[in-house]
Amino acid sequence: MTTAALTKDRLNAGNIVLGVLIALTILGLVTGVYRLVNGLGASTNLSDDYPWGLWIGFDFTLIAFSGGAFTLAAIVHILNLDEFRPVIRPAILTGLLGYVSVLIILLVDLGRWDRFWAFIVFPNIHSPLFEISWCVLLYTGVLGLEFVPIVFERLNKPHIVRRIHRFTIPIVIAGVTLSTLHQSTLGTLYAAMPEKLDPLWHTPLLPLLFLISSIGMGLSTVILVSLIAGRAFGRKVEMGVLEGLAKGSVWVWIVYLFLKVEHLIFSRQLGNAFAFDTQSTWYLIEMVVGVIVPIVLFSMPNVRRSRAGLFWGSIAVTLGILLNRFNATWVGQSLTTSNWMIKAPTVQPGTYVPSWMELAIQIGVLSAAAVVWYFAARYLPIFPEDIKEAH
Amino acid sequence: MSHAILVDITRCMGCRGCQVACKAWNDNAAETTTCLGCYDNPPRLSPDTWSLVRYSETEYLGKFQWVFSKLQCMHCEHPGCASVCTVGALEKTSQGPVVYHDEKCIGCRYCQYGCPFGVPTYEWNKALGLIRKCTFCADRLAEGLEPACVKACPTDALVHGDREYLLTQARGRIAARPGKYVNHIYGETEAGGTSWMYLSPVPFDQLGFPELGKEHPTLASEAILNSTPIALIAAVAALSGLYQLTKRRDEMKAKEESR
Repeated sequence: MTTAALTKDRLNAGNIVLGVLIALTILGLVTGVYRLVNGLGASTNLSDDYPWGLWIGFDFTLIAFSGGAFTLAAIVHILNLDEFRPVIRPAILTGLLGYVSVLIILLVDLGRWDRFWAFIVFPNIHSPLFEISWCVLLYTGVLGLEFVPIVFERLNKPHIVRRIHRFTIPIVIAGVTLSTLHQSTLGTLYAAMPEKLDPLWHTPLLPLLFLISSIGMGLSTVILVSLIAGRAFGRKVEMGVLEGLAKGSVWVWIVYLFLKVEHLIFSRQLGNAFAFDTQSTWYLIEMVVGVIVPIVLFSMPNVRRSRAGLFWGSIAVTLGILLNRFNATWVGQSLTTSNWMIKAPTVQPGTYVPSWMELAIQIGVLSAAAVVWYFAARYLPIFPEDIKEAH
Repeated sequence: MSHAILVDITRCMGCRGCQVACKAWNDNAAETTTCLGCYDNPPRLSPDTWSLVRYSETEYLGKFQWVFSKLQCMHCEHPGCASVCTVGALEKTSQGPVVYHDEKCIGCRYCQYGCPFGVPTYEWNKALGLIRKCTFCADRLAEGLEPACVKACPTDALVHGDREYLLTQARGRIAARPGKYVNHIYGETEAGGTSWMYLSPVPFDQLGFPELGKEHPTLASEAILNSTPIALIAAVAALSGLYQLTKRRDEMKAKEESR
């Protein structure tokens, strides 16, 4: 039975969820227009003390979250592990929607959004943000190319599909290369501000740490998306595949943990890590929830074989990534101490809490992505049972 | 000639002529402020305030010291702001000033993170805001004039000249009156060296000047980005090799199984 036929029965339960998501999308859209027309000061709580906030934190998180696309593409096409093929299309769909969401939020975060194209015309090869902008743009294009055959399959154009499939390997190599570059450069972004990022997080290893954690996150993204979509569409989930992804992620997190601990030791931050002030507390929560809990959970075969175990282990990973990326952008930021030179000593350090408009726009974009995911999975051959011909 | 300014903090009397001259030359609006318990007014750099006198109440050598230091963009020799700017809107000129190209800026605010002194400010209150900071009066320098603040300073606390020449001058002043100055020229090497350099009667950290190393802040990020082409080639090579390896492995396996 195809997904479209099954979902007819479940529409009543999902209607409410869909309705709420669509309402949130509309709210986000209206708020977004207000922000574009009136400027950042009128719509956000950003300031010279906190020039980047919720949106940048979410951009970093979403890019890591979308790491499932390049990770699965590498696993299936480069490592030729065909048993993971059933989840590659959901991974690519998630990646594509994730990156489009990032592009929208980046646009909304630009002070001169009317000139968003400027990085194409005015290069600065020293700037991490220049490299990231190009890589994200090109990689979104690659994701589009990886997704387009799915649309043409639905439109019954097998000859076009075959023509695109001839280029699968170069496209995948381009995608994995671009991902490696920008996932790591997101870490380089913070390497450029040694005085501003708390030493618990700041290390020249940041690019490598960001890359490795994006792979670990990507594996859990695919697990989460498969489980949630399975629930939404009432379809049987490929447990063997998800078990394999969870097992593989243990190794990724072990390497990551090793590098993080090694950094603490070499930068003599072990004491600070357990100081239990604001920075230390958030650091420990991030490490325990995002790294240690997944390692422990996913090492146990019983947990890997249960839907709940896979789900909660992957939620822990997601929370860990959210915390890690937000700690770099928000908690770990000591911008206020670095600009005290130009601020009067009696002025209190600035604080930042996102405005409701920032939240509305962010939630609106995420809701829109979820709605599009749902309809894409419903009307396009995303799940293996909907794919008509074998590859 | 590499334009630079030597700020002799012992000569500053806190008149704020420099603040006013800067606003007048650049047509920057005044700001409404409230008293915050110190003389600094406005309290921080902003899109309308590019030059600011800081009034530090501190103690040194057993005496109360009331010290005034003018703060503005330091016009670094290897500016972090210019290094990280996505579109290259900030540029260190050979004449010395770090200039800002309005027409390129996309308002990403990365420069605010790239600057180790926290100088660039953003026009949050405009619908389409830009970054604002001291320009070193590059337009005046181009016409052979000195910056507006330097011209206005009544005590010669601000001296304009070639960077190397001013360093010699600064060392001379310290040597001539060692009890008057702390033996350090701030900006000679900080963050890779700055065009605005300072002499002070008290240790600089007591005036809020950040302690910075000799390296420019973006040394690590530039080194990493310079390796991008190699990383790209290495990634493509490694992935292609890996693909061929696993394809061969599968082909061998298939051959074995078909026997």
